[in-house]
Amino acid sequence: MPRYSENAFALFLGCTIPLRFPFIESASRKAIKAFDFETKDLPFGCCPDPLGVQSFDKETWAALAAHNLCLAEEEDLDILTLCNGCFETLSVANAELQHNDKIRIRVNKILGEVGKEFKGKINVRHIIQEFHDLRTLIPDLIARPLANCKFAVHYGCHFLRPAEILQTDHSEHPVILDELVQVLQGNSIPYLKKGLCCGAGVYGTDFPTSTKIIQEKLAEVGKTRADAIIVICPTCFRQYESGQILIKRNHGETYGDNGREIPVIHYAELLAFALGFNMSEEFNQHRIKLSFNEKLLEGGMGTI
Amino acid sequence: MAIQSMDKIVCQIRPCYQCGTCAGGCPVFRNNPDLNPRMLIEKLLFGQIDKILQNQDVWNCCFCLTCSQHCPQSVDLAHILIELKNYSAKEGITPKSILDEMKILKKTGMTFELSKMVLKRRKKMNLPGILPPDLNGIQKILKTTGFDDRLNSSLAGKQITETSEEEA
Ligand code: SF4
Ligand code: SF4
Repeated sequence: MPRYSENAFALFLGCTIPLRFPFIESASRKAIKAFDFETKDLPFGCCPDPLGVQSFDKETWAALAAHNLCLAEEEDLDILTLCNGCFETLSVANAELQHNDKIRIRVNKILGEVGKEFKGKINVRHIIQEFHDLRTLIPDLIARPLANCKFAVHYGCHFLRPAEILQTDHSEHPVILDELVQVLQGNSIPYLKKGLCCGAGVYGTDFPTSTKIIQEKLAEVGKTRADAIIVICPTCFRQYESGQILIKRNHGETYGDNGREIPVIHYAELLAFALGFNMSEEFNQHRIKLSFNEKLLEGGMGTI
Repeated sequence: MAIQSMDKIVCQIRPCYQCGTCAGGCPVFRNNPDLNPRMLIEKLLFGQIDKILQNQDVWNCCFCLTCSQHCPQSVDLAHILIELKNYSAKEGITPKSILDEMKILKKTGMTFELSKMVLKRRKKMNLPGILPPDLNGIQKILKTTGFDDRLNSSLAGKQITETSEEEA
């Protein structure tokens, strides 16, 4: 007898979501409840971060990723991530370790020190892929259609590339997040430079450039008068949300209507909201408050 | 998986015909010309690795992988830059923000510490407690891979100059 149902996953929260933006974790747990899948929490460590740790010491990056993969392997569970960084690291390390014997032998020697062995028998999934697979079920579950709302979606680099390994969508012309917004009856609006990186990767090492990159993106989103920016990664979330607050403070620029900032929402939050969950505490923890609830009220959809 | 030798890296960039596609799509280059992916390849081909590692420019790559995805010659520059950053870290040139992250990783097994405010927020949403990672195991791994030595000497401002290890 298998220990878990067929639709069971090890929920990989990562560091940024539980330790900084717990409202994304809460929303994800709520949204998951609406569907027929089970999740299990395991004592995972940092994924680790595909940029910082991999740049500092690539072998450590692979060994720590393998350590996490082993924890899920021991439970016979695929991993479900809520963050592009965790998704990229675990997927790429999993593939490298599965297909490159030299690397696997080396890493397993390191893991031997802590009594673990990478076997390569599980898959890594991003929660967005799972929601997309289940999208035909969503229309019947919607309690709050988002028909009056315009959203600017941002996929994030580490959800799409390296495309050969991640295989999530077309790396230059992805559609699955747009479709997931549409399934909630929201409008996913086109905007220029949609495929451009958010610049979060150089936030710590080259802050002025990081700011210029996000300014480029925000200027385009601003032109569309979007009600919110939809992301699927906490690092993109931070870049868009803190980015706007810092740009307002340091440069006096805002990109939303009436001198306001544009709210930023992780797709799991948007979905949980549309499914009818009470999201007041989650949305209350955002630094940029949501402004589109007025529109929802007009449509008689109830408040956040 | 250890740092690749310079010869190996140069081998991988040989197909480059200097079209500049990598630079054209780079989110950093358009805003900070100090990171010029095409010129980086040129310097590497001419063996000017010392010049490249003289400053922290390689650390200004945000690892978006656009260059690797777009290159008509399949040069995986994003990962070559990861190798170069590893070289740079070995030389003790790691930027402070990265070192700070590594310190927290070693201390907690995560890259953020749990603050009282977040704990309160988690309680308000009835979230379960955070499962602590296997810190002992993680720290053992950090010791075995040489991460610890690299971090300690980087923090002490010392440079590690031993020659790079060829892939096993
Ligand atoms: S895109 Fe490829 S071929 Fe063109 S300059 Fe860059 S590395 Fe060379
Ligand atoms: S991976 Fe680095 S060099 Fe390549 S396009 Fe992105 S920021 Fe530029």
